[in-house]
Amino acid sequence: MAMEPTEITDVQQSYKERWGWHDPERPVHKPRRGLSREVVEEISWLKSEPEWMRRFRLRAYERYEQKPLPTWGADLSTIDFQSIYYFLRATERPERSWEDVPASIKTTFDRLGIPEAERKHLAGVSAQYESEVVYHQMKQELTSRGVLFTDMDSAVRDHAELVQRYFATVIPPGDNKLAALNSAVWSGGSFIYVPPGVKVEIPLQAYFRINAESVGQFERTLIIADEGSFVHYVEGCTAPVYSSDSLHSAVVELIALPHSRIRYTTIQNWSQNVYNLVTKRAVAHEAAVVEWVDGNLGSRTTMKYPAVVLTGRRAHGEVLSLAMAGPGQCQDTGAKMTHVAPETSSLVVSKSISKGGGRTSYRGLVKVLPGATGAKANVRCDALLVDEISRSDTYPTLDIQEQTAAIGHEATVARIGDDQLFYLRSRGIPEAEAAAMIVRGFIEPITKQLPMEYAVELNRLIELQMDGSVG
Amino acid sequence: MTTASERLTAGATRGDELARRVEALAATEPRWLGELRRSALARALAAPAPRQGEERWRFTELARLDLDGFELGEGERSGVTGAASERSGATESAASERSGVTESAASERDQRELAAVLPSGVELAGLLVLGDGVVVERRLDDAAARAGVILCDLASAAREQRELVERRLAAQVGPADRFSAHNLALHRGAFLHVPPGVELERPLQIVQRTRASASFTRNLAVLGRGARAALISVELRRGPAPSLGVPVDEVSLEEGASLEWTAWRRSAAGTRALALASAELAEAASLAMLAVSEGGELTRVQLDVALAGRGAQAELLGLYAPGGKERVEHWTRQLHRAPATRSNLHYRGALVGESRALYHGTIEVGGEARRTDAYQANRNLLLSPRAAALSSPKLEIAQNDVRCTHGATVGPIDPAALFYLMSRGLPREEATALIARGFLASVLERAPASGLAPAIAEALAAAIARGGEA
Repeated sequence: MAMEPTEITDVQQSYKERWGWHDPERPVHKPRRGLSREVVEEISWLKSEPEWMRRFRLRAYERYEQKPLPTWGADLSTIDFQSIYYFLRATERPERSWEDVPASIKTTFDRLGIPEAERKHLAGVSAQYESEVVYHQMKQELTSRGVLFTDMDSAVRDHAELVQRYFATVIPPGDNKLAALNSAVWSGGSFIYVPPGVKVEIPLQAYFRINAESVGQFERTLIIADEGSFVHYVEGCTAPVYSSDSLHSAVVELIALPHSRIRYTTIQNWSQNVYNLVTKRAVAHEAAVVEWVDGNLGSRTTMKYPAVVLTGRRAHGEVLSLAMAGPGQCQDTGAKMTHVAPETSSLVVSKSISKGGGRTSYRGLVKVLPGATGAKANVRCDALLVDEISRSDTYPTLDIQEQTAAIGHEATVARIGDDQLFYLRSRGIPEAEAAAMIVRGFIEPITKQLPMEYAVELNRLIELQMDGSVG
Repeated sequence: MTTASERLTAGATRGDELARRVEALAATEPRWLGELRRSALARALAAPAPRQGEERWRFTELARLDLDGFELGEGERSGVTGAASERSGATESAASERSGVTESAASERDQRELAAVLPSGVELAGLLVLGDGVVVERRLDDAAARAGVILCDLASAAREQRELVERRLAAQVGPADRFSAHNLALHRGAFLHVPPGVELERPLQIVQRTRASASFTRNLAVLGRGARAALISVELRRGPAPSLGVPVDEVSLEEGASLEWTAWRRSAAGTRALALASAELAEAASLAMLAVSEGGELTRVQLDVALAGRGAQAELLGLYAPGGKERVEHWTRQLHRAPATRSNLHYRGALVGESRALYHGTIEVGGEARRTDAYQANRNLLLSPRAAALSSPKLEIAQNDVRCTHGATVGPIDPAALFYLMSRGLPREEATALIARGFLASVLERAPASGLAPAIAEALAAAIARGGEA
């Protein structure tokens, strides 16, 4: 592929306007803005990918061209798909210095008590630090048990057979426009394979893997839990992650083979310039369990509906979702459960908090197909509106085509109760603290499912965000 | 006369025919109403056809609601053209001059059908029966007539009560899309006015019987400040299979008015309907409503209840029991637009055969509607392995000083309850029917006492018993 030397305009122009700073650029291969067949071919060529992947990308690109953007949900009309760099090598990622990081983010780090080294990583100021060692030790331990944990690009090269067998089987490129886009230009993401019977006790954290590469824009993650295995994967972090990319569109596929269990925990706290449009779906085979724990705190707009397709008898799916929307934010999140096989069960618990004019939506679907006898599903959505200018919407859909299925949905929208506040204040607790306490109690069903350090940080973060919002 | 398919090949012809019908109706009506019809007609012809891809039509088979696919005949007076319409217009006018009298020109079958939907043990304050939009029976008791209650056909009301009708007709269900525009252009219907301060102990009833291939009936009910009344509106869809009805209801409750409204939609096999109903509640007004959807190949009911004045409240109940290959859809919106408003919605359905039920409900709370309390529940009982229900209750809340809750369930009969009844010696079918009846009765018991509850319960039980056959 010939690479045209293209004019580089200031990539960070918009950030300069927004944040008052920008990154100097030192591109190596002269990346181009916008998307075309050539760009897709170039990505594949730069990665020296096998032919099947190149063709897969091109097919996906065609689907991307045909598909319309969703007309429901958040407003996506302001995304300019032709102004985005679809591929930057790690070395081409802009470097920036600690001084450039916005003060508000630094303050948050301070108040969350995040260690110095981590702060720089989180702020995207590069990071090669001790965790590299941690990662290698962990990796050795895992390798000895046959667990594969690597980035997706390496997996295409090194574990071709597994990848080819499962890649895009849960989310085909034509699934939706953004999945098609990801399929065409994906880069990075995790690949995990857990052999039969292996139970990985410690959560695998993307955090350790990606520190050297920085977080990708179009990540592609594939996790396969073989029969009877267990794995808990944790992605993201509670502290704000500063990203200069305005569009993040990942695709995550989970395959839970019979009797296995996958737990996938995401805490997303992108800076508020990011559109976070993610397609996540799992297939649960017989008696398998898939749990999505999904926390969305950051980004300008998130559209994310983790899904579980329950194809095996007695499979179980769960989505525990937490969304918090502050000023200017729109968290359009939810869950989808498709019951295909008999005696499958699912549970959705969604908690959302809107404040300062933020907007949260729960958008969900429970579908029970004919033949899924005895399927059970329960959906519970609670929304808390902190002030009068915020907004909360609930759009659940129950599509039940099986007589013996028992399906329930419940939702409430309310504010922090005066009586609750009064009670706590009568016990001598200041109003702001009382409000934070109530919010902590409100989201507890989710936080108690998180690894401890995440739960602690999340609670602190919520306290921080609730500061001065009541009273 | 040309056939529907011939007309479809020449688009202009359809427009001409619609215009002819509009002019025939307008000929005996006041000018302003004619103008309203003509502008609605223009809209009906210009409005884009709804597309299957649109969110609100996503679940509905639009091909079955194709307005151009149905003859614009006159049903009970089929073959009647402009001149005849004038004649019936004259009859209506004459009728409206003689309040307190009974007119009857209906066959025995009509009488039987009518008797089945009249309340038992309750004396009506007034009754208006329309056959394809033409008055066939009208009576109003002396007390109501003396109090100034008006119950008559819409055209007469438009002529004689312009100040009451003009500003309210189409104020809620205007020519917003092709369906509502067709209705407004071609409507014939009923008008009810209960003057301010009048409290009626006994219910009023409007029966709209339709036999036409395409029918566009309309009811407009207005309750003045502080008025109190009970209204029973019945749609008897008796058209051929297939036929299409687009009935419209507009209910306007002024300050402190209170209405108990029973809306019973009975559709013959193979008929289709898109019902557009709307109620607007001013300050402290209250509405208690029971909507029953029975029969019909495809019934889609849209109900908007706007709580526009402080302290307004609405209790909205719904019942359905589709069987066979019937499909019933309820699209409700609880629109909270003022502070301290309350709404409470509870729709229940028992599904048999291969029927499909869709419930799509929205609670919308505007930023100004503080201290709103809204509830919405939809419960579906699947009595057959091939029935399916889709429930989509929505909350759109832009105000934090609220309490909004909704719930939806879909499930089979509780096996423990079934076992209990069968252990008492009831055969499975009877036990099932009894449980289904009880399931629906819990809504019926909360409904306004119209004297119709036994008839409605019977009709729904019969629909469940017919089950898969219909």
